[in-house]
Amino acid sequence: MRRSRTPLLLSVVLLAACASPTTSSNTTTSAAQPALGAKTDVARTSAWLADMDRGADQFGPGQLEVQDPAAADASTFLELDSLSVNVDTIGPMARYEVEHVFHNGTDQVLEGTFRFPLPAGSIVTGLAMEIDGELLDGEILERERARKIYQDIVDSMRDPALLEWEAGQTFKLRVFPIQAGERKRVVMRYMAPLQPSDDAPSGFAVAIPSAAPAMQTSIPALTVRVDGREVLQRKNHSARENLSVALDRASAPAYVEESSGEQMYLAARLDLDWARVANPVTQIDQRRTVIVVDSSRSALESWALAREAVAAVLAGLGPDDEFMLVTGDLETRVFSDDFVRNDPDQRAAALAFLTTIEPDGASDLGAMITRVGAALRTPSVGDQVVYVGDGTPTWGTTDRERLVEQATAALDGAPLYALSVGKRESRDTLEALTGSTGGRTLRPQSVPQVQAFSAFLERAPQVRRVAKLELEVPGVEQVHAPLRTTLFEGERPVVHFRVAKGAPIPTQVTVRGWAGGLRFEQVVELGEPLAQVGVRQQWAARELAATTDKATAVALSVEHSVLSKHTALLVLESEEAYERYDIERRNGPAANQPAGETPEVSGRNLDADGGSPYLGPGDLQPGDPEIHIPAPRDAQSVDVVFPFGETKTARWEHELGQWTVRFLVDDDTEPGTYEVLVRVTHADGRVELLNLEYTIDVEAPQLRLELKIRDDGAYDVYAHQLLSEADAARERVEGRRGDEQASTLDARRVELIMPDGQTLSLRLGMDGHFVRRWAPRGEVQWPATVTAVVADRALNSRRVELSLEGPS
Amino acid sequence: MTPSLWLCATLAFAPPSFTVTAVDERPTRVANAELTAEIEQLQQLIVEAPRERTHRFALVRALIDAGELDQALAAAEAWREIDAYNLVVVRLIGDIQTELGDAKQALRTYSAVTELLSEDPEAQRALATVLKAQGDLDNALARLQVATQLRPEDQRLSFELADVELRRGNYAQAAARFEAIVADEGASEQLRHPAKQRLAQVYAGFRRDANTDAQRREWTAKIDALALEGGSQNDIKVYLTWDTDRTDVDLWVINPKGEKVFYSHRQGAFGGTLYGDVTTGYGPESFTAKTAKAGTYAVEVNYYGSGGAMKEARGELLVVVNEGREDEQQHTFPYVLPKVGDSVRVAKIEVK
Repeated sequence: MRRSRTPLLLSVVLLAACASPTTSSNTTTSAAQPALGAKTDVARTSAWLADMDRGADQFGPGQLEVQDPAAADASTFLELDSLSVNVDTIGPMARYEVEHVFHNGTDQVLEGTFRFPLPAGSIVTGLAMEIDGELLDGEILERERARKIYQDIVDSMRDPALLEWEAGQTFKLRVFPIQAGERKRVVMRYMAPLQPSDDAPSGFAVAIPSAAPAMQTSIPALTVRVDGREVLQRKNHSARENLSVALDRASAPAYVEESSGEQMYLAARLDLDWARVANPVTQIDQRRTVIVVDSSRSALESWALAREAVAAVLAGLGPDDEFMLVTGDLETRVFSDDFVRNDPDQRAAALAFLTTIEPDGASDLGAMITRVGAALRTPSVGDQVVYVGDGTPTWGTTDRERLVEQATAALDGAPLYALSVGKRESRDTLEALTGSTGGRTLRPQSVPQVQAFSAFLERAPQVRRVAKLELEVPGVEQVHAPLRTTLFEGERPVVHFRVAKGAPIPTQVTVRGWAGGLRFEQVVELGEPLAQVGVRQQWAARELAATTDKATAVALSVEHSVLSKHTALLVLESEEAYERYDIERRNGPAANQPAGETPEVSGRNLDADGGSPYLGPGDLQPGDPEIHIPAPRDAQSVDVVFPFGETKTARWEHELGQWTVRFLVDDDTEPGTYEVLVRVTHADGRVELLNLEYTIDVEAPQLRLELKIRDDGAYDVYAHQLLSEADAARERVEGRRGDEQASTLDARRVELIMPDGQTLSLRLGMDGHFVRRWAPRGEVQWPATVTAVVADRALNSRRVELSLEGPS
Repeated sequence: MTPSLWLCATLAFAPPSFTVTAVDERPTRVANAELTAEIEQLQQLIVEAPRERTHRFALVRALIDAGELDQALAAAEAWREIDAYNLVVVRLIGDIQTELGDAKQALRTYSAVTELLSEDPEAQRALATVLKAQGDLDNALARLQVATQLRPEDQRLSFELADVELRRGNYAQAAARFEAIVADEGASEQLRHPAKQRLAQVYAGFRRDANTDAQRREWTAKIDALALEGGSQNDIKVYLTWDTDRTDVDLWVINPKGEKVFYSHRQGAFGGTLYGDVTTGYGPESFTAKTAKAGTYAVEVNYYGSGGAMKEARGELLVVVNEGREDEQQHTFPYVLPKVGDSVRVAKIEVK
């Protein structure tokens, strides 16, 4: 595999109202615009369409809404104290880790709802929340199960959190409690598509959700890192717009892969040679537009937006153009039996006609298509159809393929464009209808987006396009690609697929379709893929989108840690809580080690301060742990020499921002301390050698509990780790280093289920002991039995029943 | 045999003739002082607690009972404004529009259920009941197909779907569904038994249409294999079904002697047997008279109880006469019982 070694060229620009069509002169209305098809405008088409497609008007950082302590019925937002955005590009997408720290400046315990809007096409991969000073990662579970556990817990324990898809591209999370004065950390992890950007060397940029929230003047601390480099660190960041970071070519490779298990997952961005695509149709003197509005019951809530959409579409038509307005639910109605001239009076009358209709009844999409077919029975070159609605057929013909066949025949070459409005959007159906007729589906969230669509309609006839897309990847049966989307000039579709490990890796894709009424075929050379972590999750998200079976979707979602509509992310207050509910920890401490914690073998950034590198000891169980080496990304190579004689080459992990290598610790490895040698060859050829120790530990810590009464009447529960004979022997051999805690006192997590049912997660105190305040619920008989779960740095864990004597 | 004896024999074995007619027993709707006071009280209660559904429901029903259909429609529409996803109010609006003679608008109203509760099989079933009552079997079939897709394990839904398939003439599909229910040992006997009865009717139809004796023997063998108590040929068979879960609707059949056969008197001294007392929803319950007596059988439906305050009982009666014979006839009658305690005479069968 080829590995990128080119340093990033990053430039930061302000992206004014990133999703608003007003950001680009191309998306404003037409009068001053040169005709599309000119070289410069064609180059901007993809950015223009992407702007139009974007679902949220302005996605920014998440917000934590709480009940206003000063007004019972009002809500307010907690201050966003700091924001840290870490972005790593992975082929066609970027992986985001957005850490928010909110501050409860009140003297009350609050309950809040965290909402996080995401860009269209995003994939949620994780959520972590700080509980009792510790960042706990959530787990993806089947949605109903997650809700049930959440409900079960919410009254008896503290701090469960449930992240669910809310609507559109917004996710919400209930957060409780937020203690008075507490700083609450919430981390969202997701992937979002790169944004087309004309100004970037690669043609792409990443949008940073960094806009200062409306309810505060600035964000006190903002840090932005892209591909391992800090691109911004700012105090009191007050910009109301998101940042956009332009990407160099090396940061946006067109072909990437990730090996996992027995599969290799691949993502390819296809750059078509548009000069070889047939030109669009000739001059159009007069257009005829049939506007079909879904007036079924589900359109009621979005009826105002639908009417705005019709008004915008009509306003975008020329004075010589003609239109017909059809509404459809169980029955179809027409504003006029025939096409009418698009003059102001007719427009006003048509809009008045819409006001007389109250959405009700089922949606007979087939009947609407039949009515459109009747209107277009004498086809004309400038015919087009615009559908406004959710595209969900609930009466008559509901089978998507039959509807597509019906539409293809009825429209007779006229493109169908769809504005998807309404809660119950059937995007697949709309894209099937528009993709097969050479049109396009847009889901507008705002009137400006509709206006952008209207401008698009005006120019679309002059833009090259490929409809009815088909892709052939040699040796691959199933590809995930926007096959139902008509491609417009300059757009670069992304294809995901997988092959069995060891099978030939495809080097080209054949693209077929229809352009200008002619059959079209082009072979796109892919080259060699670049290895990047995250391609598997991208593939899984597209596989999920194509899966209709709920059980399969849930399994996919859980296996690949990609949130779906059938799953939710559940954060529990402790490892014990996960264990109690029999939730497999895929994202727990063992799977998602932040730098500097056990059982990793790692240290600080090697080049950060120019000092001598340091690698701290790590404790491991037998198994196949990873070593994380924070060498610079642009290092030429990082090799690790193991004590048993083997040398392994580490690889750069985008997700972690570190080099990693996995090695095997056999079951029969004797407990003790071992040493490895790490050889880092820096970009400038300088070689750095590091010694790294790791300890094989197979025994879970043992504890003694102690109870002390507090001034406030509650208790402090202490847990003291006991040195076993083996620990003591190791300590005699290893000794202690300076002021460090004894290496054998390695307990890292202590959780207790108290006799009154409360679960306490003890904190590590300054003296190396664990402690936590406990206010019993009711009388307690001494001595009492306490269930303790203890884990050490090597993740050896023990669950034991301990006796707790009365307070000392 | 003497002529007089021949005449007697002819009279004794002449097959009975049946006339099945619907009984429109809708209560008289007139305002009275008591009803007016109730309406005023309910209107006041709604002002105080606008989201209390039971008051809304009671007001609409009271206005209907008072014959104030326009006001009832307005009250129901006002209710729907704040309770858009409530199936009860959607059906009430459709019912009132039907009574007002606007069947087209009523269907539009009813059909909104597919938009509002598209993932709810009960809502789809409820809509199917309304459509069946209006004679729209094609769309009723579509709704039941959606409902069974949403809940494929529900054999009662499958039974209803098979029933509609039968009525549309899809005999093979219906037979396959009934066979699946009969073969499902996990299904309740209250469902398997009527499924056997319906299957026997289908098989009897196939036997009538058979071209050869061998085929006829084959169908007879299949009917016999069902081991139906009382056989597959009966003078009268009545099925009662309803579309609401957790409700108890009872079938009452009053025979020509005035004897009521119902859940606490299942075996009529004058003939006729009730099968199944379903107390938790949907039915079916059935009545069989192997040999009908001359006179009039009155078929009534009683709404015995409900798990919810606003649940209406809606459904159908299927009356089969000359079951399993060449001249078998089937008649269906929709019914609506707004509240617990209501009973209504739906059909009468005259036997001569």
